[in-house]
Amino acid sequence: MLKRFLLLVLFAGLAQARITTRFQEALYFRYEKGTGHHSTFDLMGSEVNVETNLSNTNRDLLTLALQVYVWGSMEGWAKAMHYGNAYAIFPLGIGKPNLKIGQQVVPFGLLADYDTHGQIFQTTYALALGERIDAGVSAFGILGPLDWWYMVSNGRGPNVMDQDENKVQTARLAIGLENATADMRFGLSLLRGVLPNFSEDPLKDMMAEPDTFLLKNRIGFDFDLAPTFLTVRAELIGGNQGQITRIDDVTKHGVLSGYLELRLPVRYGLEAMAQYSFFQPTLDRLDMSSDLAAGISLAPATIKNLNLQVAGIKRDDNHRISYHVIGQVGINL
Amino acid sequence: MIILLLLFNSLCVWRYPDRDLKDIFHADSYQTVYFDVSREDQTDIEKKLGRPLDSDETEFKFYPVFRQGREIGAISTHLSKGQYGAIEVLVAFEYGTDRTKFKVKAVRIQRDREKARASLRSEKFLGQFVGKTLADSLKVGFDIKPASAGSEKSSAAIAFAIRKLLIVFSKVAVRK
Repeated sequence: MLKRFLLLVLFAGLAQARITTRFQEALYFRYEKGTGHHSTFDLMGSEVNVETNLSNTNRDLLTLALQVYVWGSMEGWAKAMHYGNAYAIFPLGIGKPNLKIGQQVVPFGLLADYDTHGQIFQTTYALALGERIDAGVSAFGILGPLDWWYMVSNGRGPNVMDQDENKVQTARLAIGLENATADMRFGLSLLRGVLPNFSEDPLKDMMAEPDTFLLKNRIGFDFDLAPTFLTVRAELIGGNQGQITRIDDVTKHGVLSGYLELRLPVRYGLEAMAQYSFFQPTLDRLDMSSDLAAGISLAPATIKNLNLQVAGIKRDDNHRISYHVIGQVGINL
Repeated sequence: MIILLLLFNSLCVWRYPDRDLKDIFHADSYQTVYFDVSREDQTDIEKKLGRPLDSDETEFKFYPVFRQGREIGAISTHLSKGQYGAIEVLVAFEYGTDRTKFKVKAVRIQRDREKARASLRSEKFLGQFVGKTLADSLKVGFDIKPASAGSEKSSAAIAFAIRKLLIVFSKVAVRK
């Protein structure tokens, strides 16, 4: 009886609702030449994004978003870090939390507000967290001047059956400030749960598989600062792998990563960009990988759907130095 | 102050819906409405605007806002071409006796990369747009003063975005 009533309410609601659906297609081509590697030119990914909005007479009830990977050369975990968004957002009302259910970007650090999809520069999530998109449930909203997020997820990435009792918990608080000279945003994120652990960065080697799944505890500080026309983004993530039972576990099993990005507009549609990132998998050893990169991003005013990025990267993988040039064209149709 | 960061990126995002609804309208809900620009609409909009729409301006997004179930206004956001990058302009319209009689209630800059940031966001500059309607030309140097010396291009970009949204919304307003 209750089921019938609920179905009746649901169908009555849908009959009253206004439904709009939007499609957007995107293509990403990439050229890469690195030390000791032959040059490559690939269609990294072609995708269709579908967004459906459902509203009644005076408010939005639901937004569905689906990111469909159609074709391309991305595979393995690299693909799982860029593709697989499929979620529904239920806004509960102004000033109340929003619920987000499905496969979504983990709201940790800069990932919460900065969409790295389609960028050459990537933050350190692949090594520091082990995933970017995960299946789960999140809630987000505002609390006075603060933005907050809380997510519970499987810790296995997208499009994978949940295989264990593990749940990853991610929590974040951020504050946005603005004055006459700058927009600022500061965030504090916490994460705990079993996640894939990579010794090789899957974003650099798409065939890289996780060595293992580990309990990770992470704390992240991030900021996004826009003093006049310069944009500065930075993130520092620290934490450890596994349970802390002895004090030296913090250093033995401690990890640290950092990310700094600068963007400086030259004129409309053209900006210079630079990035430095590092990841230290164990704090008691000096093993470290880092990237130092500089490049440009061009979005011609006359062809607004096109974005060209070119970057030169110096990569230091535990004292093995290599140089890379990456060119990427993104087309939104 | 949550940014509803959806997958779509061609339209300007509305960064702070909760804050804007509370500050500007004391509203309690909003809807998302898309306006698809038909060939006929495009001709009419461009004629009123005096310039062609950009190639990707095939749709606009408006957010009618409600207080206790009554529609009292609408908000829209738009990416305008500044001197150094996109300027994210938010315009709030308030209705008169009905939704076809609307005027600008508030203008905010969500994000910009302009050198004249402070003056472009100042009440002195943005306050000039309050109360403006479709009947106003919103031309910098005519009925709008530039934000500061040297910011004429950025000021014009903001005024142009507001004028464009006024024209497009006049088409949305007559629809059910």
